Amino acid sequence: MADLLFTHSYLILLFPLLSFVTISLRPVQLSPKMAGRFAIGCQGLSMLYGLAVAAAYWQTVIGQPQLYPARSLVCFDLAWLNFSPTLTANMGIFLDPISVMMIVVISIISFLVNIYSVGYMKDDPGFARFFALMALFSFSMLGLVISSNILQMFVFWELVGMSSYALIGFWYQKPSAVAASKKAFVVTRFADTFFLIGIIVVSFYTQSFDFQTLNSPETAALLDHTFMLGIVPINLLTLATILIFTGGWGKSAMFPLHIWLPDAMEGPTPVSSIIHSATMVVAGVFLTARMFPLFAASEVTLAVVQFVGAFTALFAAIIAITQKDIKRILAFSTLSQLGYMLFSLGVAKMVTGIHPGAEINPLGYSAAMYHVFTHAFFKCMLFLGAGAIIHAVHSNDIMDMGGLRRLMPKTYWSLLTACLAIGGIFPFSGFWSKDAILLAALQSGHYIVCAVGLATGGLTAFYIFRFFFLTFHGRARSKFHDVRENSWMTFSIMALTIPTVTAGMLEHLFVSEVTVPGLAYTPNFSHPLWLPTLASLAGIAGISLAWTFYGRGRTEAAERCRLRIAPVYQVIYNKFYIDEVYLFITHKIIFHGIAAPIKWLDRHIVDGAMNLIGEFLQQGGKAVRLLQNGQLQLYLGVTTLGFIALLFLGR
Amino acid sequence: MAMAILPELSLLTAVLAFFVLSLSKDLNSEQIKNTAVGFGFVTLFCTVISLHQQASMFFGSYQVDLFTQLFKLMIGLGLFFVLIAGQNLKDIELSVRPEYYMFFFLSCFGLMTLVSSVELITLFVSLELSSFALFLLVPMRSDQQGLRIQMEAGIKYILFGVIASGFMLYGMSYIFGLTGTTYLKDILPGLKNVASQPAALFAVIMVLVGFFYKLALFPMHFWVPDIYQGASNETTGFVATVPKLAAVALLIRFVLLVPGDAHILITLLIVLALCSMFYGNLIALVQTDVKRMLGFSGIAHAGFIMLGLLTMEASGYATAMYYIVGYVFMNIACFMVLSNVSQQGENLAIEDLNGLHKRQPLLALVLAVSLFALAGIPPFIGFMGEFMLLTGALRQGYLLLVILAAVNAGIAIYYYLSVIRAAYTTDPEGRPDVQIDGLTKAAGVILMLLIALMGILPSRIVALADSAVRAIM
Repeated sequence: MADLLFTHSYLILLFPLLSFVTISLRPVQLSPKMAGRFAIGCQGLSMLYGLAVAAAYWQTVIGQPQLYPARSLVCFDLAWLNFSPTLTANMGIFLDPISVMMIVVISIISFLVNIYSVGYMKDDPGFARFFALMALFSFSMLGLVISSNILQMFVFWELVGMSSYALIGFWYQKPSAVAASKKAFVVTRFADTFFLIGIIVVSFYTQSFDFQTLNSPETAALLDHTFMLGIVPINLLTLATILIFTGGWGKSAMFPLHIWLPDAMEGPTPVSSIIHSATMVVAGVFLTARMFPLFAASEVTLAVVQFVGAFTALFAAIIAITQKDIKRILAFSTLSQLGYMLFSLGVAKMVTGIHPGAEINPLGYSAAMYHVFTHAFFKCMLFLGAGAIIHAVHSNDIMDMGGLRRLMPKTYWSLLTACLAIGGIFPFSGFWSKDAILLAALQSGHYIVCAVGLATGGLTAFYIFRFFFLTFHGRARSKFHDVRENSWMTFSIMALTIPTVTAGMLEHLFVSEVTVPGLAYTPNFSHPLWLPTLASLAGIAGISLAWTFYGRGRTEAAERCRLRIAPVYQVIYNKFYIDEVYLFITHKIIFHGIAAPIKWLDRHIVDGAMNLIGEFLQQGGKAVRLLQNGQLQLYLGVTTLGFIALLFLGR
Repeated sequence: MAMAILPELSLLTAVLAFFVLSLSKDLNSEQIKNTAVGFGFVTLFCTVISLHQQASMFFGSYQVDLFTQLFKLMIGLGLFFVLIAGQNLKDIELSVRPEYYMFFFLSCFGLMTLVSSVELITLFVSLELSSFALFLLVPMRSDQQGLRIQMEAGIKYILFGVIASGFMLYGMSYIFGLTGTTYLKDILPGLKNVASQPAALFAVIMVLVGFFYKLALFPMHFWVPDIYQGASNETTGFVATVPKLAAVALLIRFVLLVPGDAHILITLLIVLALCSMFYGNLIALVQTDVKRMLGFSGIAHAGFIMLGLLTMEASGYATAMYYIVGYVFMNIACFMVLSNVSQQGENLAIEDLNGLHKRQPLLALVLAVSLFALAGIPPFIGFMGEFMLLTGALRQGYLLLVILAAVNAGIAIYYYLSVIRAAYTTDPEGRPDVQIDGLTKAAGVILMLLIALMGILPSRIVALADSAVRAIM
């Protein structure tokens, strides 16, 4: 039975693909309503099959450690590309703890978000197109996590990027949405260029794309040599792993490539909830985890991962405090939580000498994956809730809201659990995963990072309850018309409270089963009690502070405080002006500084000469004179001379 | 015997048929169009059935083997799709259409004989036959704005072609002087004897220049933007695609002739490749005319193809073949969209494609797929070709080149995206809907499938190209 399930595990992908093809190409006429139902049906089948595969995996692979010591299984393998006799790429489905976990997360969330979208996108002219693109996204994202080799993953990686591009710009009538979609695509694609170079470099040295080969100690040993680039010594392993990580850097929107994610909120809210918080943006974290043994072999790479993660966690949390747009608050919160996941992977590398004989602390890895899991549900719910609010009050600005508690009670109570979870309050899911992350940092001896994590926890509780109180409590700050909860939407929101509240029970499962492949694991989960206490206190302090400033929906105290630190506030509110820096570099330097002069040369010198000829031609029949005009000889002379110059250069 | 040159015979028949048609006074545009597409199909069919022919003809100057037949198949495919894509010839007056098709088929005939020529004189004659027919297509565009840009473009095209031929003839004269023969199979050992003389390498490079010109590689690219802009959309669609196939075939033939130590040639190819990529991509960033943009993007892609040639390996040449055929399909798909969207055959600016997804959803999809493929987004053929070229070049140890090429692939996304953005994320703003017939629809779907499937499953095609290249090595 289990074997049969595994053999046909491609069906998980096939259902969403079928849905995409059917709705977008419309071989039969589907009404928008039917298209939505059809998409939900396909998504549901994909989810059921995914869950069945997960159960079979649990029973067969995890249940029989003697048969599957590596806890992994390649259940579908197809020869795909032959680059050379020694270098081939297969197309396969790779099941291991993290891919199975991601299958569960993605398929459940896709299903719920599809249901939600029926309510949210009601009466939108692009209703069917929306469901087609969402199906394309589910297909690509599932393909990404089950890829058995890095090239296959890259293909899905770009497909995910393409569907994200199409969905951010879904409302193409809004110029801001179009600009945002382009920005997202260009920034991530820029990062992917390095990812691609990394793949090429690694595959060249190892003659393999396969994750299992790439993660073996032999590969690390093979790559671990230093060469000189000019006078700079470069370690090939570090270079290659950092190049690969850059892909994840862009996809997970870590500083300074984070600029696309807040803008991506221009897309419809269901899109933000599934793509830009729960699943696609964790692809970078997933990639780091997938390649973890290789990354960990380098001296520098995990330190980079750790630093980038910790910095972004704090940086984004600070910005989130000042934002007024409901979705941007959540976007910066996502950035901050992604930072948590990445630094958790980074702290899996122990500080030298802290535990003699151990280099890797597997708890960092498990904790990161656990946070991916819990975060996906509560953040997805926060976005869906925000979407419900926006749908009801037709505004994104939390300063226009307030007093929605009585109007939207189901949303209120559900979001409360999510806010408590992300705020790290016992016993909600976020508490457990953050606790595991902080513990990992502490165990590995990264005390500063641990402190950053604690501080960010306090900030998180503050900004999320600022959002919560300003939206739901106090009196309405503007007039709402006809605020109603839509049952399609509340169903999904309420369904997500289940994992948000109960995922804390899975902590021991993650710690013991989701571990670094190929590492003999010694579970060490003993806590100093002060750590969770301190974390909880930070969370409670954040909530209390939010209550003093914004409780009952007041803003006066906060406003006074803001005026006192106005210049600093301005800088933070404008996101440290990072976007402006980019604009300067791309527009002023690349566009106006490089491309435009070349074009000018082309237009005026080369074309100018040609236009002159055109003028003469217009006067008619003076072709002979034209040839003696001199300009054309110059033109051809440039070609000849240029060629001769190159000949010399070639020497 | 006749079986081996069936595609050529078919093209020659087409030329004669259109010659006869051109004498008729009473022209019917439907009839001309159907004849052309019909002959295109017959030619394609002939290339398919003669794929596995082997022959050596005309005193050994004309070779038919897997290499030549595979290229003829690609030319046949390209020709057929170009005919469908540009079937309306909106900007060519009815009275010259038979002549237009006559020269069109004559040019294809030249290209086919070109890939089969293994003797310098035959080769030169074939090249000029294909080029001069092509030169004449450009000024046949009707003069709508009274600017006569098509005349200007035609003159420029001819002058550039002549210069390139000059380079090439000069190189050929050296080759003949050094080896005393015009047969390629004798030239190779002949050049080996004089490999220490710089003249040997110089001669081969001079000949290569002629094909660089056809492929529009820097610095032989100057003609591209003006000719693309001056010629009608349909003509540009042809100029931009099919001749490049033959250019790659001949580049492979001549790179194989390089005697002894090839590192000078390799350095030269690296420099040319990088110059082409950066020049093409950077200028394309700021173009507003779609055809010009595609022209510059073509220069960048020509640079990419050099990555396959400079490996000096069968697998590298095979990848170059794979890439060029992908390039041809992607470009034909783009030009198919342009010639159908253009109302009277005028040139299109990017904003003329606004709202295309509402005006003609299928064409918008074709455009998006082909541009994403050109930008090197997986799983399309553009990505897979690029990836294989990069891995192949790295296998030879050109790390820096590979990195710079990958960076270029990254730059390119920007300008392709702005066209996709126009087609998908804007409203028509009163631009009329675009009607297309069933044949165009079918061709669009087939092209999309080819672009996607050849990208997902490239192994068979590359293996076939590989064995073809090995047949002439």
